[in-house]
Amino acid sequence: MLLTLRNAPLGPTTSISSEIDRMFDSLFAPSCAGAYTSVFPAFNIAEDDKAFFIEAELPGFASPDLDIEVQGDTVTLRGKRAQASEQASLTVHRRERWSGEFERSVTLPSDVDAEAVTATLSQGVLRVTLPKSERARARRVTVAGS
Amino acid sequence: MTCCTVPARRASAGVADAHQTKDIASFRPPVDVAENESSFIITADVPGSTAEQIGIDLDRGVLTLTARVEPRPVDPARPLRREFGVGDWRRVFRVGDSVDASAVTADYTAGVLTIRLPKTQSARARKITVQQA
Repeated sequence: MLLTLRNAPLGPTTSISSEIDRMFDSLFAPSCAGAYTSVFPAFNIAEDDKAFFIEAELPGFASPDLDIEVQGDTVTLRGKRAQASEQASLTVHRRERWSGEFERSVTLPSDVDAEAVTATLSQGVLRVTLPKSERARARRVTVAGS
Repeated sequence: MTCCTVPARRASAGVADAHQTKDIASFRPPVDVAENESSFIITADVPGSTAEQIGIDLDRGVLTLTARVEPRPVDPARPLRREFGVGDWRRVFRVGDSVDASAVTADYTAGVLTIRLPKTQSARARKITVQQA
């Protein structure tokens, strides 16, 4: 093998720092780069007065590979990514990228208007905007100070 | 199904990097590495960047890939849950002298970076025919 990776196990270029890298790898695996969780895909969720926002990193996914289902306050995201390099002529040395099918559901603090949900996918980043339902918004009562 | 991680890690020192001085954590992207008769192929998940913000540097047998990612502020929204960090991607590979540096090509589509590193003539496997006496 001519191409040796810096952190290849016990490879000729193994150093103390790469050993530490490997220890970290095994501590946090299986997960995704940049993620603080082992769930795939990781979500960053935010809200303002009108909507919830879910962001997920889904590189290599095309829009038809993704499916978003909303029911009340629960959002389910499904997707599929095929292994790209399945050519017979290729010898694979390392496979760290996630592939296969996933399904993940999250329950939001209140109901959303399923009809008004929108999503964009750009450079592998999915952003879903989920407007809160009228009913959920109406439930908020502001207490006036005296 | 494989995936790996190291959360929020700083760029390692040693190899020059244009924005290393910036106080931004860089993340280690998951990669696939494969080879065929003529090239090595590195595929890296580096979502949220752009082709212009990707750097591929091959210097003395060390390939450094960097992908700049602009911060994605959620303002004026309030964060409810934060499961991943957003920042630059960086990873270093040792490729030795087996790669023809002038012929390296790269493509960035849907957050996936594919780098093709053609082998030098001397690095390609040769078939040797045994002569019969």
